[in-house]
Amino acid sequence: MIKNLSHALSAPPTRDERTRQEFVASLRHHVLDDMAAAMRSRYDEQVRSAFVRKHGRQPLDGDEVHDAMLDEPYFGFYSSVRYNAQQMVFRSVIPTVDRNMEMLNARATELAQKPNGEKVTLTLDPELEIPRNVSNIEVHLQPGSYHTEYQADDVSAGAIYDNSINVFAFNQMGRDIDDIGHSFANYVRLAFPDFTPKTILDAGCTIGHNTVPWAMTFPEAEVTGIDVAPGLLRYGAARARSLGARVNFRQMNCTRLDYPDASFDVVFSSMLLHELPLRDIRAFFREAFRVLKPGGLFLNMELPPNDKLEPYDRFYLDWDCFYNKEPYYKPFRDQDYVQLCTTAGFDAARFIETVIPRYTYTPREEFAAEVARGAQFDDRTGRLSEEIRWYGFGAWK
Amino acid sequence: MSRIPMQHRGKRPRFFPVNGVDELMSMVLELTAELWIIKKRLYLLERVAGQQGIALTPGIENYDLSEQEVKELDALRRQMIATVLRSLENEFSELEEVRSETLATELASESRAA
Repeated sequence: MIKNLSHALSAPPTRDERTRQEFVASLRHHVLDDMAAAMRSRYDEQVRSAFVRKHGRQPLDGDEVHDAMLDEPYFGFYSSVRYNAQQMVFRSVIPTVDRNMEMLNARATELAQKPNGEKVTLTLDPELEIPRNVSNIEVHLQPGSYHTEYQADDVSAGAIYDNSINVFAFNQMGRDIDDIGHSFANYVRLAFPDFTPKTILDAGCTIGHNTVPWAMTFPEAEVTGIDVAPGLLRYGAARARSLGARVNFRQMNCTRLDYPDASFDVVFSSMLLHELPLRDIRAFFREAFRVLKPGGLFLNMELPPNDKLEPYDRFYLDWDCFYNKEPYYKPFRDQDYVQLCTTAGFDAARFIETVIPRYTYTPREEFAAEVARGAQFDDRTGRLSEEIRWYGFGAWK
Repeated sequence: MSRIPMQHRGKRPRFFPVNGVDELMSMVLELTAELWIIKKRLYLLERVAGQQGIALTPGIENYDLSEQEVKELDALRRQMIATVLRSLENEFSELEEVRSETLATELASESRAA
């Protein structure tokens, strides 16, 4: 069962559209849960032993597991179902968004004019060049990618994003796909009780679904979300207005931040780095170091680094890099995350990382105990399922 | 026709060594989605009708379709088939691209030779 998004920009599907969305969500659940478990069994029972017979040793990394799995027919079926399900995610929500385009655009304009509309600011930069990793690559197989506008003052790209993740996540990423934001804002609140950020930047915020939770967790803070895609930001501003949050949205590239040195207490990102070429990751890290105040926190929610995982789990997570138009995914995960931070100016001794359960799915005391326990990696880390645990890393300045 | 594109650009990955299996997988999955949508709609239909005291089954068996209804169903059926077979359409549009690229290369080499 897919729930309607709980804010005012929810696009009403027809009964058949909603049924199709539910089918696709179930198909994704099936491939990522049942078929993933069956594929793992094939690996354990057949593929690994065949590899050992041939090479006289266990596979050393994800590439070797991937090469061995290419000869396993079940991997073909798993990949085919997953690839098709990904396309069907978009095919199930685009007709709904397309039909509701005028209504959504009008509603976004109305929300800006309502009392309290000024609690959210939106500053677009029509001169900003859309980076080629967004304009030239249909990330996650999304037709039209994230930056395309279909009308004047269009929010369609945001609506596609919001509704497609709602299907994609089969109810595992929070009521309004905002669990990552809640989990990391509350991680900071619980892990560092003496740290009360006054200024927070969320880089690559898309529709601000993970930005709003920072404003809710730290109501005194000035929270800003930036992204390169105007349609996502327009939608994000309207979404935040309908939720009554206080957030600023600005169109800006995270590799060239238009802020003075020492502007923020927290620079946060979620699921951003693996979409960036390595030189942009390095530029963003340098900028994050520059705009952080001394004593400020740089924190990235991301996929876990390959060197912390077993070879099979590396292969499993890197699937997206090969088959889901995510060319920067594996190159990022192959990096030494400590070194990424120190190259940008952070001190290795001030590096932090964490693995936490989902805040909005976990009893409060259990979440606090897990935060205190520190980072422990296993096959649940960063892998979308009912057991998923989020990974985050960064450093104090 | 949707204003927002429904299909990603470029080549699709291949997961099977035998030609055609990738397309068949897409067809089976799309077909299953369509079938599920219909099954759920029928389920709801029977319940809504039953709530209103209407026994549907004999009515369905004996219903005479009008000319307009036949046309409507024809269009819906064609749309369903196009969706189920969409992977073939993509394949052929890729082939068209390859053909036009080949033609462009040929024309370029001809003009150089001239």
